Amino acid sequence: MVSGAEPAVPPNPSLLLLDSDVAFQIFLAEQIPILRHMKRKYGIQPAVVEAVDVEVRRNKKFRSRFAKAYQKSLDNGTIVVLDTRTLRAFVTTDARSVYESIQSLGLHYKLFLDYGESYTHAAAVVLQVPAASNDHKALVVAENNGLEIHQPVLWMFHLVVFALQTGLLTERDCEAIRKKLLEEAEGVPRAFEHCSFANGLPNFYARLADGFIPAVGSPTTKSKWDHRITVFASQG
Amino acid sequence: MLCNLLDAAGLKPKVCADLLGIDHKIFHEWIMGQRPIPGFIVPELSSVLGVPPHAITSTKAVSSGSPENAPAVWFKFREADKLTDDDREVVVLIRKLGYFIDQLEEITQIKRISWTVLFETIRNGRDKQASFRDQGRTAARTFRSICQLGHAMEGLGGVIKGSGDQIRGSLRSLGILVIEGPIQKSELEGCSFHVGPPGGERPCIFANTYKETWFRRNMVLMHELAHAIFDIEDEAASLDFKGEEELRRSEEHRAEAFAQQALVPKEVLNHIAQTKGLRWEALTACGIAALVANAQVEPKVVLRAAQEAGFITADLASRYLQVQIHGELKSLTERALSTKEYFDRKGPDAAALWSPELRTTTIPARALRLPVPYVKRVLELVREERITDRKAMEFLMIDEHAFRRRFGRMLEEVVA
Repeated sequence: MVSGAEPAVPPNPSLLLLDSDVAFQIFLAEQIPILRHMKRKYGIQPAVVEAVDVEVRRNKKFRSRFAKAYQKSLDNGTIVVLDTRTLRAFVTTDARSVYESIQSLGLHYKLFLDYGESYTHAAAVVLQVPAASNDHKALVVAENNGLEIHQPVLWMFHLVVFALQTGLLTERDCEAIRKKLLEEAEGVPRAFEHCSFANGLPNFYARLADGFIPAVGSPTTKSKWDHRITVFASQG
Repeated sequence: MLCNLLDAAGLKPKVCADLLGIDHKIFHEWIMGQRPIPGFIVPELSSVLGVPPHAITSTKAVSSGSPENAPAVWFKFREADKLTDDDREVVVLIRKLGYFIDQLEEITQIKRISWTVLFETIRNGRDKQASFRDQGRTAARTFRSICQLGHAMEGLGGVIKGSGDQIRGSLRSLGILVIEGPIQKSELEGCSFHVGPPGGERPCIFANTYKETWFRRNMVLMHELAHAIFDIEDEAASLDFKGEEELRRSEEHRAEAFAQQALVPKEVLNHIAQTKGLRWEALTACGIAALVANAQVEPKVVLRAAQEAGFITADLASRYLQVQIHGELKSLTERALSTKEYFDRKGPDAAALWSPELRTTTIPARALRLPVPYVKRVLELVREERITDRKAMEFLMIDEHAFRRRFGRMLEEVVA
């Protein structure tokens, strides 16, 4: 509870919705600790919508390498699959009707986006929580088709930079993640494409930041999609 | 329950999961009611299985495995003796494609439903007392007239620059799904059935391309069109198998007469003969090849049509049928070439764009060859930034690797 003497801080979002491409990169770079960190220290539960759950399980590349780790993170609650059963822990109104709203919005979005993208963004809009998806084009497509997208949409590297800011990762760790993703022919943000993490960081705007710790990265936005969500640690 | 529906339809859950691109374990949990079926997949399952969405999510069990509980289209596919598992799998994929085509039309807001007018006009104009062959011929004349093909004096299979051939172009613009692809382990030559969600169905006609010529396929497609017009409303699906030449059922006579009249009416034969300077009583291999190349149907159909039109006698028809025309035909039309010969002749650009490999799905366990206009439209929407790359992969049923390899450069060039 916030006492009268302390400044009131807005509550952190209850969920962070991972799209399949971010989930894949997290497992590829072995960065499950970032998700645990968000859950334990910030009370933000990483989650995937059912469509993403189905997508990652059927993806041959993901399945062959990370099926066990993924299942483990579901079993220990690091990630939850957002369905009719789990949703009620994150909403104050009737979970069934919230679920139906997500389905109804997702059904429209999926004309233009794939299943995972559609229902991730639809859930983000309905629940007013951030989504993590690397697909920049989905934002352009959504804009072209008049679809509402809850801002900001985080990339994998926004989570990495957040982990750096909050002391979970060092710059060296972040550089190793960058190299690993490039080695695996995975996309990384333009700021880090052709230079080291340390050199790219000043050109990268952090869309997720801890409000009690000095920010890292570019002090100014770099694109119209750059909006910042400020969160606050709930412990220590 | 989904479990009962699949059982009644004769679809194996594992196969179904593979075709729909869903993990076996999850699919098993869905069908056994151990995990709720997520809302996102219900419209697709509903469309593929041909049942309303509530039937998918219902937890009420129906008598397991009994065919009378199968959705009508699957009852037909389950019961046909000659049908193989491969055939049923292709039907699952085609129905999935039908679902995607509906989405594509919703995006572009161009709903093609002219087939309803065509079908109704033909059905309403049918003289039920007439012979089945006459019903077929009359229907074909109406078809040519409504589709404004009446003036087409060359074969309908001929290619019109920029719009494909007239048969497929006309059918697709009517909103009919036309699919041609190989099913190796199959006796199926062609079939027709409805695809699309309940209440939003459209007819689909399929021709098995495995070891079939282009000329034969044109006939198969028109034959299936006749079934789509007259028969699938009541029978849900119509199936034709290779080698069923005796045409046992009266509906088959009607379909065959329709196909022949639609493709090679008397006036077309007459026009070809006159423009090519052919003398019916003394046709050479070159002359017969010219008839086939211009009519775009196989020799036996051309000769039968010529005989029925009174241009040749039965004796001449059977003599001409023995004449080998393969070499002559290849020199007259690219349609007589094998795929490899075609792309060798057309050069690497043609092969790079629309070779069958580029249009073949990779995600489902079984491959399906997608129609060229469908693939083109999906790529156009990607270029216009109306759909994401990942949505395009979903529409094309291919994985990211295949998408980048096949279309990456093409899409990059446009962006640049």
